Amino acid sequence: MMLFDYPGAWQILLVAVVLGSFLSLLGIPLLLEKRSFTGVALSQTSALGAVVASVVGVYADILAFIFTLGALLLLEWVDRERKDDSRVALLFIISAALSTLIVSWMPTGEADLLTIQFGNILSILPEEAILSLIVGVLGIGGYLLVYKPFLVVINDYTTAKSIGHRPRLIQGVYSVLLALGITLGLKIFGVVLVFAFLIVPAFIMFRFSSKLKIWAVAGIIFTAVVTVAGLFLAFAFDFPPGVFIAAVLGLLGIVCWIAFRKRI
Amino acid sequence: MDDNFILKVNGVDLGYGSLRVLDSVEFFQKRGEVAALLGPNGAGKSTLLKAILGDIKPIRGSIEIRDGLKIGYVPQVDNDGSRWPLSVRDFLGLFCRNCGEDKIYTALEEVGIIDLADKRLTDLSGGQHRKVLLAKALVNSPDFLILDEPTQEMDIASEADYIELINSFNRRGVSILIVTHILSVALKTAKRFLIFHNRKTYFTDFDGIMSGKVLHSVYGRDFSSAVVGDIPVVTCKGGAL
Repeated sequence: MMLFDYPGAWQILLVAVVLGSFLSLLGIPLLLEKRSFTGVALSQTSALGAVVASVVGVYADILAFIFTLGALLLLEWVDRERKDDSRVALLFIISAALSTLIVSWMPTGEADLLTIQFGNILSILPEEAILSLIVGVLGIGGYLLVYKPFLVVINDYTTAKSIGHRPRLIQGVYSVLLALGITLGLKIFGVVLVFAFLIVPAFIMFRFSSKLKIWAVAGIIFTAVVTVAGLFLAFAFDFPPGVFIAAVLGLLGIVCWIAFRKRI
Repeated sequence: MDDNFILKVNGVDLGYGSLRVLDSVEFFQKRGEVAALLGPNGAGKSTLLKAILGDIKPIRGSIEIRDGLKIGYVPQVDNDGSRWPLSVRDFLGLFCRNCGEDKIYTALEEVGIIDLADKRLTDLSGGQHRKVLLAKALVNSPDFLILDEPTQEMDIASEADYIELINSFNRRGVSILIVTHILSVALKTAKRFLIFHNRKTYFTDFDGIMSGKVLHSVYGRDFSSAVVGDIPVVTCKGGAL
């Protein structure tokens, strides 16, 4: 089956490209701060929120967003001075264990576990696609507004204040955008692909360029190309799209790491 | 008190939670002056600096910085945490607020690293990275430069270059506050000193340091001093400081 034989192919493509690009931008600060694994812990926490929502019967996106933002608050605000990754690991452990436990009680447990990890890009409804597109585009716009100021804040909080930025506000905006991007991405990409979009494009761009604009623009282009090509190939060879795109991203990341290991 | 102040620390107590770090700190810096916060690691220099920069609030007392000053801050180097795979030019561009590319090149020229503009921060030596951080503080044309352990881990030649840079900025009217644990660096740049030792602070000037009396009361040892060429040297039993 080819991609365009599938009803709603255009909306799948558009949503995947927009949300993938949004996540690839959000990942730049995480990599610069050497906190890549925050991405997977937050994605898993978001998944826990969605799973809890399905048990208690509330709208999954809302609870997933609240859980993700809560985890971010815990990492960034309650314990801001300590950025070692053991706290990130704790969040991942509890979220992964609880979400798996809850899902294992459900009748469709095994399939649901796979959906949590790799999403279900084909299950997106038209109204969800429109909402995701609007929020994704607004999110990219919002992110580009705080892109440079946020990098100033995470590099040198004191100087950020002294040159007139409002660090707390900027950090808050980034936290909300990150929680939003992960929540929206989770449903169609799953934990692993959200993590891949957060980390791999920035990882590769850092090896090819030392320019902020190129990290952002080329990161979006790279994400779009890999997403579109990945979707076409997944349909052509009948692979699960989320798993396939994650595997391609991971492979490209490893190739870049080995081939250009002396660049950074 | 002199109205020509740039920084006043008035009877400040500082601490974290129930831990008291400094008591009744008094300090005063005039406009156009270089001053130094001096003392061993853990003595409270960084705590006072955080209070001056507004990152923590005093338990008691007040800190005044002259209104309308543009402050340039050079942080300690934190194990490469701030070294990103970004070009020096783009890095400075982040901190250049309402200023153009010309300011970036001027700052690079001032610290003598214009040839590094397109290099990545990750490719720089420790001394070059220090100069980039200094250029970062200069892009917004500050009136008041605050330098936290600026010569830490520098070799003797790089340290001499850096001290000359600091003095050249001061000759152009920039007020400078240096935080250091190295007395020789403070003596080669500053005229006013706040010395930290065992939770106490001692405020003195260049002559006070060179007389050896203040150092004796701080450390309980005998010191002698001399100016060799134009370089002040203070010695105590065991070597030069």
